[in-house]
Amino acid sequence: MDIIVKKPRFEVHTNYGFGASPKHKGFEFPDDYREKRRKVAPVWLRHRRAHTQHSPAEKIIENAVATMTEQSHSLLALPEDWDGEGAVRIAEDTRAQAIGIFERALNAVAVSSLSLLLSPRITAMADGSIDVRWKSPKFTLLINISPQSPSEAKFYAVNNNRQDIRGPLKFDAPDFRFLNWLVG
Amino acid sequence: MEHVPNEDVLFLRVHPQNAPNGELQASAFKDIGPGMSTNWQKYCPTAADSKSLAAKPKGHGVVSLVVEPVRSIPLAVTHTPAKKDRSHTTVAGEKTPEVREKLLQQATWEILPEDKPST
Repeated sequence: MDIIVKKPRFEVHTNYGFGASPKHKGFEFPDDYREKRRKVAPVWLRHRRAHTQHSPAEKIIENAVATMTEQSHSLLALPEDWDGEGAVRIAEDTRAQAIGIFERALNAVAVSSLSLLLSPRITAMADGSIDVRWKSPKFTLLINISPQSPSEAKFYAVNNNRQDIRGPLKFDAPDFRFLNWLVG
Repeated sequence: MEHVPNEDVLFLRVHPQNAPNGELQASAFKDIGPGMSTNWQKYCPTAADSKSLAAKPKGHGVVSLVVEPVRSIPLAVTHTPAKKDRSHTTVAGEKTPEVREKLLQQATWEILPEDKPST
């Protein structure tokens, strides 16, 4: 008796059910694909987020980011010369970078240490930059986001053994490997 | 211009924005022009005197710093008297996050800021 091995007649695509996959034979991107994608992506992304089951850690991070976004709103309300010594206004871009760095830091740390990073102090500096600072019995971490440095933030961290570390944090790919050492 | 001895004290005004809930933050240590502006206690005897020298003193707090640990960060402490302020002293050197965090460890509250910023 011959054994016939049939190949499966389906393929696994990784577009999660959002329309035809570019892997289909004969598929071609429409000419206006990029333009439409730019317009459509935020909508389906919001839809997906609204209908996706979040893990407890994701929910905690989401709430912490929302709280920080709300708290940092007051920084934008500071007028020119808010300190009476010529302070510069805080720009929306700087605030957005600060929130972005905060969110990435939360996503980089082990879930068991997440609670240590949820409530930093966020303050404005006279030069228009923003400080995000964590202080706990285990460690201190200070990140400065400055409009004068559009591609990276600067940080300094010290633990309770007086071991410290400093350096830049690229906005597009911040290296937070030190965080688990710091909070661990 | 005089030499500022290591054991002397400097006063620094702090805006309430830089001390939320009375908790001093590293953002209080900032440069204005060539460095951080402070008042030398020799010519500005009290923290209240330092506060009164602010353009908008309402709401500001004042912290004190001893000169020697500031120099050991290391930062340069130089007497730079102004026409209306003989006590004016400049703390020069880049205010990186590390330097500001170290200044924060050296600072002592003399006058707590009021909650409402004087903007």
